[in-house]
Amino acid sequence: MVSRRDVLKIMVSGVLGLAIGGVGGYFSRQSEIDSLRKEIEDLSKQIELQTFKLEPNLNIYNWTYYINRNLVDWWAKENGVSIVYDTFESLDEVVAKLQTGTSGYDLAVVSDSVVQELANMRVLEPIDLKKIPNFKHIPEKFKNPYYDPGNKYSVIYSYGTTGLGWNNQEVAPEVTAWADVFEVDRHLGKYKGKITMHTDSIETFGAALIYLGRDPTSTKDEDLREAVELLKKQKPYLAGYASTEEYMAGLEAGRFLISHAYNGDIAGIIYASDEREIIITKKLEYISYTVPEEGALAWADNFVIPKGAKNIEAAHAFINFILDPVVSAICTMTVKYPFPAGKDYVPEELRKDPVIFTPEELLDKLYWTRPFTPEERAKRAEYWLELMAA
Amino acid sequence: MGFSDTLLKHIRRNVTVKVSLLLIPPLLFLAIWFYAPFFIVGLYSFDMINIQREIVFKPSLIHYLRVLSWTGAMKIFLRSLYFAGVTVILCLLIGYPVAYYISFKMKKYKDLFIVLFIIPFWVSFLLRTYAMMSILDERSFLNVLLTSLKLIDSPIRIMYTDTAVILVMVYDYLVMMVLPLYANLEKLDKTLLEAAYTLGASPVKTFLKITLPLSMPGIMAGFLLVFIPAVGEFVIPELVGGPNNYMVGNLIYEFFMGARHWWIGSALSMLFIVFILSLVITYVRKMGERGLAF
Repeated sequence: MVSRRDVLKIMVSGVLGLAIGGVGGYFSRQSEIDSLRKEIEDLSKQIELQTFKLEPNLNIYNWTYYINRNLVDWWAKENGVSIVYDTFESLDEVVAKLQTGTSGYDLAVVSDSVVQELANMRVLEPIDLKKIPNFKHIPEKFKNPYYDPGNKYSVIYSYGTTGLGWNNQEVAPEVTAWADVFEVDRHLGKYKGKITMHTDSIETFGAALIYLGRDPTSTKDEDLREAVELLKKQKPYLAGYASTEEYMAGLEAGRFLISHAYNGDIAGIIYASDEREIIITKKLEYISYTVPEEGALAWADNFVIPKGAKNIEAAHAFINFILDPVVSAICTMTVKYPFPAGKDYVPEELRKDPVIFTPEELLDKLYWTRPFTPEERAKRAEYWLELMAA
Repeated sequence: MGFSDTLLKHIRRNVTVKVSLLLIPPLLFLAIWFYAPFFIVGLYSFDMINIQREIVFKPSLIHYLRVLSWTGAMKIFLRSLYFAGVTVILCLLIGYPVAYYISFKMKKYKDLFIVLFIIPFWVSFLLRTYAMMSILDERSFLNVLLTSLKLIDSPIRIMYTDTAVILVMVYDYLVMMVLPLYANLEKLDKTLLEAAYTLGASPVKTFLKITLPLSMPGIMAGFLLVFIPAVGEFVIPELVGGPNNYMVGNLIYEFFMGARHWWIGSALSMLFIVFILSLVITYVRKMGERGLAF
């Protein structure tokens, strides 16, 4: 029987083998690495990672910069599977390819908002949870999601929130709530011209609606009316409505002190991550991220097996591999997105950092976005336009 | 008509035929990559493509009527006109003296100066905008320099204001004003000016009566080249503008990319194109076709 700690070593060895310099903070001395490597070689003779036979190929389609690539290489070598690992940068790309039902991929990672859509189009293969024993490591909150009851077609990959990134050296007291950016007698007034809201109307309306105690995905006129009035009052105090690149650069340079932002973007500037290296020391200590106490919008990315996949066994095995708590932990340490199964295995400072893992007590306050119809989107855009014109 | 004339005509006709053959590739290119997509935008705007992306032959004006009922959209449109207008006027005020000076007063280094003027525009537009951002910023070296020299008490805040948008637009589009103006002034028959002086006209009068009217095609060309992209600009207001710098370009972008409602996005685009087209038509009517040959 192989213990968890041993598996950890094996996994880390995959990282070590390809990027020894990259695990700073984990194993620093060469002698440690050498002894570890020896131990691992002995261990890997004893264990058999897979219990069923895999196909020789696996074609994966994932977001850019979203996994520890050394682990992928290691798994491929270990299992004698030749992997084609392609990446995309926008959801449209992957949806367009999967829609055809002949994408040629065996495994893809897509966002919650399109899982249902793809399943309804019948372009997904069912997932057999019996072949993914590690599914049990996923916390209950991330199982059986609204967009795929019973996890018939998807398994969560990672998730994130939209909250507030802020400069902890210049902003006091610390940012805790949406009220901080919506009430003039709190941070909004104090840091006038230094605060940005998100340029994506779904996010900014979502924040306003959560603050107002409404459903953030509402398309009801009375809710949107109230939200737009709130946002209009906030507008004169803002530096602007900023997108990813702008608030990342702005927060880093100190032009913005509080920005409505995706957690992953903020993690990106705090840790300066690389997908072949485990970096767990912060590059920027002065930026923090808060999931507001009223709650926040969340998104989730999910493994799906596209229709027509030829290497279904290998796809299941790969999902199972990533869901191994240690592998998930390594992926989290690498890209700074939370892989839910790995939470207990990451160093404490990462586990407690809300920029990566949403604090336990707020998990119940995460709201999932939902797919909107074009008409619903247009209606929200109409209110957004009113705000922009104001 | 002699034989040689007929022959000449024949050759000439053939040459014309061959030259017009050369037009086929660019026209084909435009047809496939510009007119066809544009036609599809038209179909969307008239609600002739349904949500399954199939063509349906039931044209409707609902999207136009909806867009035209938005007061917010009108406000944003007027705001765009205002920003583009200020930009074009500033470009003219800065660009005219530059073009005038290079064309009239410089003897030796004309080409060099024009090249020096163009060089910054070989750098990507985004890069230039980012460079401007680091100058306009409150913590920029400019502000640091000015405050440390005690020329100003506190840093000037330009980023995320109307001023920033206009400043960057002027900077980015200035060359589009200077080049047609320069080309136009170069072609201006300078003996006319000598004649005016000989007949006793003052420099101011000469300028107002001769140079300015004769350079109108250049001004109009520069105006269009600056105004049209400026009014549809969406990157600059997004990058350096504040909460009040949302322009028509951003609006169209929002409906295509944010709301992914291509029908409304298309209707907005069509209305915008009609507006621009009417500007160009007025211009061509006024200037004649030579107005387009800057």
